Amino acid sequence: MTTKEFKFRSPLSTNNVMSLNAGDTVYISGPAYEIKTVPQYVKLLDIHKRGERLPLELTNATIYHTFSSVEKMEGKWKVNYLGFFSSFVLNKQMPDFIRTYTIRAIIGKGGMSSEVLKAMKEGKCVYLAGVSGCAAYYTQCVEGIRAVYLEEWGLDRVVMYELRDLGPLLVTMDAHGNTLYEEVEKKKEAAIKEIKTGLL
Amino acid sequence: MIPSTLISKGVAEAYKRAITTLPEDVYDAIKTAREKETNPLTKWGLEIVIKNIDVAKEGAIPICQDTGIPEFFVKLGTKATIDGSIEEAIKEGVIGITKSFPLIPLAVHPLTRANTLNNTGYRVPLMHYSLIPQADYIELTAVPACAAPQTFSAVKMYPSGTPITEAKKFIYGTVHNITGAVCPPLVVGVGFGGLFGTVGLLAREASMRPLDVRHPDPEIAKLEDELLDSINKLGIGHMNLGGDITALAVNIEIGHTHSPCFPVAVQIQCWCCRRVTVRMHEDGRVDQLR
Repeated sequence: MTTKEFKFRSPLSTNNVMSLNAGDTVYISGPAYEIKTVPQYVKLLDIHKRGERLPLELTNATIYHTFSSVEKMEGKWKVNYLGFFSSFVLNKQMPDFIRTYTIRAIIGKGGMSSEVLKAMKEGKCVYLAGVSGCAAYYTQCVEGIRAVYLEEWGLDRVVMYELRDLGPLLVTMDAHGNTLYEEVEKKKEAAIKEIKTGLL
Repeated sequence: MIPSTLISKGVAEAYKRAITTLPEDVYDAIKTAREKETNPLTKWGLEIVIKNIDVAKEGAIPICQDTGIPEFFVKLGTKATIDGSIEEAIKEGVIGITKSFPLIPLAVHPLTRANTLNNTGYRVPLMHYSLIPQADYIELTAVPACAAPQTFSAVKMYPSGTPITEAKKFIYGTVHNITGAVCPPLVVGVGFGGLFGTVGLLAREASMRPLDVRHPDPEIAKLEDELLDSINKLGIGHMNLGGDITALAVNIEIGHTHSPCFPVAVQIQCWCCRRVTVRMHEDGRVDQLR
């Protein structure tokens, strides 16, 4: 089915990223940042534009588009469960974000736009899709919360998870400009045309 | 008299079960899809989906991270009495399970987008009421409503005289429009008739019918099969990566409509097709129904 299987530690090196091709599966350990709301991206990019220092290290980071239940109990953060968030919501902000902060990997669901694919190719970044809707399965692959940054942003705070072989994740968009979605999209267009014509 | 505390408890129990276990008919349909699928990527994905459903059930972990906007279909026995407000009791149940489980707080104001942090708000939880003649109990179906399939559902108000082929094109087009945000294989609920305010509800109820039950009218059951067949020809597959199985079932519900109107609604539902029904009695019993 898939061509190759990899296990990597975040932050991924450019060699790690370039060795991946669309169709490969990957398991990721190490840190990943939950950054999945439009206001988070806008605010983090604004900090850079103003020339201010970020309280977190995003260079070479793994970004996790995830929808999560986390809570702070007696001063300690814990994760209850989490799953993949629809990445397309962030199509507009992602290219600038990849370029500004040198992002190496995005974990999410459903893939992103051709503009994001272009920025990924330029900046050597890979898109890893989780199996949609499978919160219970993938929650087992999250060790816990390493840190929470920008708590003053409320629900837009940035949670940094520690992953333990989070996977299988499917490389659906690679750093060579390839995407698994394009072919399906073409077939889908042809199919709907045929179905509609058949009705006449 | 049915204590309102029992209703709150029943709501919390039903909701917890709804987000952590899938109905047998849906589970079986996903397993059959896995067997039949010839696209290796989709088959691979469905393997994980099945493992995920098993892990969720064992560990009482949500199957899907989108634990939903709480929606309830409530059937009141006409002989049932309650020691308080049923709406408040349902709301209390939601607030309780949100805190104790905990659920992700998802209810926001439509314009300010402010989150109430307890999954309730204006007209949330969503409550639909109907009656059961002569019964002295209350039946409640919890249907957590997740975001992506809601976003890609659609309503069309055609004038009468519009050929059914137009409605079919609209249904196929609606499914065709889904993006990777939605998780096929889908359950597609279709509503024909009613009026603007009710056709969406027909489609919603259609998506709640067990997948192994066809519409009692053979003509409509035939249409369900035809729609399913064509939707699967779209080749979207699980995770939008291609495949033979884009939908597990198409269910239709109909209502008579005004003579110049032809309303059509399509409720998109992901494979995580959650519903749990409980029956609550005066003596404090809470039965789990299918």
